[in-house]
Amino acid sequence: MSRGTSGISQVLVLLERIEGTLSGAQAELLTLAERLGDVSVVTGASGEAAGDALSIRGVREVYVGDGEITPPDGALVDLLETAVKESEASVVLGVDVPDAVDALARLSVRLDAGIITSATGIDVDGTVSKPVLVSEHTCVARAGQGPLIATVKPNSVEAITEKGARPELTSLPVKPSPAFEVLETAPLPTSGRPPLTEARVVIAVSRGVDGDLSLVEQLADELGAAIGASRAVTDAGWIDHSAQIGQTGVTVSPQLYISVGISGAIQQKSGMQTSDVIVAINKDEDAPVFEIADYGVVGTSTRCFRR
Amino acid sequence: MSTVRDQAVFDADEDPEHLVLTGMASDDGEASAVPAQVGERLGIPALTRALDLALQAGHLVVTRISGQTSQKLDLPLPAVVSVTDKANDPRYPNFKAIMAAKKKPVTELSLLDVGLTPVEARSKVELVSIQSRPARAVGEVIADDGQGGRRIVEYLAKERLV
Ligand SMILES: Cc1cc2nc3c(=O)[nH]c(=O)nc-3n(C[C@H](O)[C@H](O)[C@H](O)COP(=O)(O)OP(=O)(O)OC[C@H]3O[C@@H](n4cnc5c(N)ncnc54)[C@H](O)[C@@H]3O)c2cc1C
Repeated sequence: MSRGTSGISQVLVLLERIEGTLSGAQAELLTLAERLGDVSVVTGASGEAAGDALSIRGVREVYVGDGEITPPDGALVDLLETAVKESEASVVLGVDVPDAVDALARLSVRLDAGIITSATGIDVDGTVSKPVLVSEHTCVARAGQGPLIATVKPNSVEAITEKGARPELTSLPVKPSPAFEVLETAPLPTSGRPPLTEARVVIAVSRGVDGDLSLVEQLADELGAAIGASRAVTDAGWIDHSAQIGQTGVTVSPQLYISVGISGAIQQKSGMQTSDVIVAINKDEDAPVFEIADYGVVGTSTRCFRR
Repeated sequence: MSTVRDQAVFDADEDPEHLVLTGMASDDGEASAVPAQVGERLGIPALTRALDLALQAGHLVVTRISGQTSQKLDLPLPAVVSVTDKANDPRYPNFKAIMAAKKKPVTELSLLDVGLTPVEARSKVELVSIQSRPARAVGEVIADDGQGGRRIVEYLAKERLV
């Protein structure tokens, strides 16, 4: 990892949007960034929103645009590129979400650098670990040329952020310039439960619940859990696609994953097998999910829940 | 570990109506970085992970999730769009179509054809090591004797998870 004249790496963190307070994943990312060097932040949010949310110890400087820039507006990449130059960053990090991956992927082309996504750890020596091949392997890699550009998965480090002074705000001369027209936006259904990728407990459901989620919801609320699903369920439309766990959905790594009536196909396993503890309920004793479960119950889901 | 080095296979100015359609992610690294990188090389927008898409005269309507919102965007061509498995229902080819597809012309391009040297085409990320994840220890699987729910709660309590 190349270091600035001070001998300390300059780390630029992309927070593409800030909604009120920082999300858990954003706080985690700042915690990780602080271990790696001097932290500045670039965001598409307004200066006011950024200043409020980022009054955190260790955040030295915040770069914002000339007006709010909302993903997937390409101006976010211009803002990012300008902030990299201003901060002389040798490390550029984002949360592992599509909008951040897209902006950082474009940045990597501009800087003739590589990009490492879905990182679960970054060492001070600049090596990055990430799961590959449906999480069956872990690889360690580093930037071969140019700055280290990486996105970090939620639940990779424990977020420790302390309140601090308001950071210095630098407004960069980049204006929003979306190449598209927004026809409609709608907030995703909220449940009051923690976000799926950040939750410490996840309950994932499938056909076994027959479209009736009331028992699962009750259990989730008792455990402070988020609810996810297999593709069988999102395809059936019982739950929104954003709750799909697996290769073509989200990857989760909670402390506890409770799998209810899910077979455990490789594409589903890919999204959950790095969970700390896996508990599975399935009526079929040969279901592949039992191969990776720490605790399994062969039985029907409703009967287990009623207890 | 994505590194893309797609030399422009078409010229965005000469081909204003072009649409580059890609899948969501590779099976191995699952980086999903290529669509945006191709868009950058071509100097055109890329909208990723479409849940739904419709092509109308010279423009596209794409539905995707951005943060905590679902957004429906209208985008003029040329553009890159990547799709999720929600974008459509796959149409599986029958035998006749598979045979016919085998006769389709395939153009192979060498690095030289697209103006690249082997050095330029090298990955910009260095692989240090790769290890298989230690197999998960085999857990305990019990038959539900009517007490399955309680057993789970006991297990969670023992593991200090609740
Ligand atoms: C390219 C690709 C990408 C994919 N991406 C994903 C992805 O991201 N996520 C994903 O989940 N899948 C994905 N899939 C699909 C995956 O292969 C499986 O088809 C899917 O995970 C099956 O979901 P399921 O196990 O919930 O349903 P099913 O295969 O229908 O299995 C249902 C299970 O529930 C059990 N069961 C039924 N009733 C009860 C009951 N009352 N009590 C207890 N158990 C019960 C059955 O024994 C069975 O094991 C993908 C597939 C492909 C080809």
